[in-house]
Amino acid sequence: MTPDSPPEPSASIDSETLFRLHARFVASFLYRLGVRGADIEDAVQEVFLTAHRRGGYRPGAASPTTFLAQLALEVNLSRRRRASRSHAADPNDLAAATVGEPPADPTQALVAKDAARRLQAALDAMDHAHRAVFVLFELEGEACESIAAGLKIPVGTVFSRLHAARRAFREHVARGSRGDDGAPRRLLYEKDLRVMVAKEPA
Amino acid sequence: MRPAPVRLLDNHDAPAAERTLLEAGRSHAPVAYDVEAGAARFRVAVAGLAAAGAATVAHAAAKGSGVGGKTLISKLLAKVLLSVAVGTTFVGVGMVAGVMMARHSTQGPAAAVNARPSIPPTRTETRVAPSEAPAPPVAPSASAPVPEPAIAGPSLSPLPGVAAIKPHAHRTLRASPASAEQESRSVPDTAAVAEPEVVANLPASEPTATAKTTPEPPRADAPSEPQPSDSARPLGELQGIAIARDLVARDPSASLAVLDRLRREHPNGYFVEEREALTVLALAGDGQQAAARQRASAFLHVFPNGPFSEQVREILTRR
Repeated sequence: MTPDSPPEPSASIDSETLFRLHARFVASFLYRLGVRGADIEDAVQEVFLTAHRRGGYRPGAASPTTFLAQLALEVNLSRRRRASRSHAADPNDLAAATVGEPPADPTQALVAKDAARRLQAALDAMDHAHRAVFVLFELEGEACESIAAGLKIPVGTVFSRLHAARRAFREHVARGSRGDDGAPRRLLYEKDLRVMVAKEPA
Repeated sequence: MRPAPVRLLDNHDAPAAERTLLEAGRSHAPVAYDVEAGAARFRVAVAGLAAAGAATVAHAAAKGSGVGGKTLISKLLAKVLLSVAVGTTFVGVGMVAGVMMARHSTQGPAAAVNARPSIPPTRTETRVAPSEAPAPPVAPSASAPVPEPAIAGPSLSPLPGVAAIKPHAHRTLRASPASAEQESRSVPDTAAVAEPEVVANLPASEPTATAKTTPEPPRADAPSEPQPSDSARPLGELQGIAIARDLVARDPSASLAVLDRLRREHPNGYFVEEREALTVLALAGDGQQAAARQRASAFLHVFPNGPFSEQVREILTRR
């Protein structure tokens, strides 16, 4: 391995490197689990401190991502118990948070923001355990075996949770694409969005 | 064995609406996370954990090694060190008391009123106050060793602002204007002597040092000249924490003022845990035991196993 090359997958990673490599993933994952605002930063710190206290990530069947996802689930559960109040998704917060890498074109930005808002609404409708598997498999591209090892559950449970999460996702998307009268809702096209953007005050 | 499911994004039979949402979720992070700031806080927390762990190990070692003559020797050594420390403290207190008495006799009641060091609410009040009593002679305690802050956390000294604290304060204290009139303009009262430790971290473009070290001819309109208020300038959170940490042991009330300001300017900052822990320690140091205990309970409720929890817990058990 050359000095400039990234760490090999099998090599153990020290806590700070783990933080730098995966803090963004953990922040996004926590957000998708329903953590909001300033709580995200505290929860990210808690996740990595927990990892540090447990001796850090050790290479194995679980990838660093699924290992941290399990800790994020634990931290989120613990924080929700402590807070004893639900962190309902604030639509304004959601809109403001979709700023990861905003596209230069305002129309594309609006499309991406709308899609992210609807995706988060679909995720919020899922059970936490199902949501975690769905996010790791569908959005993060993790293998089922790695998810099973990271979350410390059998692979069959990963399949069943993914199945349940997909069903909830489909139902939510189908509901969202129909109007109040049951007729299919016309999707927003770029030309509609350009009109909307043009109407917005500078 | 059951085959692995195909991802919806890879499944071209999946509805377009589903794929659109998933593509958006993959290509855009839902939150913008500042990795550098987070890593800095994480480093501080890990160092705090290491310090707390070392203290625990040392404590356990001290408890475990109480066998035979070693214990007796260590106890004797501790007693000798304690008596030396107590003696030094008495001598120091005597010197400070002597200087205070001398100051009182030379300055009259006006200085006595301002004798308690506190952070004035604005810089304007500190700098401008033109017709106060002359500045007190510099107390030797200004160069006395400063006790370390109570938090056994990580060292924050590499911060540029922190390095400037003590030299700036000493420069202000040692400023020796040519006449008493100039002195009264540059260093108006004892409250102003305490203040520079807080303003030391403000931008270097501030004319603080030159105003205090270079005598200028008195101007008639100086008192009415508007000065930017200290509270109007945002204080960097990490700098503020470092200042509060530095002040917590030797001037808890000043530390509390800095922490209050941090609370106003960074209500959802990265260093909430550090800020609240320092607040508990400063309240305890300031003699506000009831408030310190109340705050400590709240802190431990939120951070039961944090790097500062042991120190805060100690406040609760203190009589």
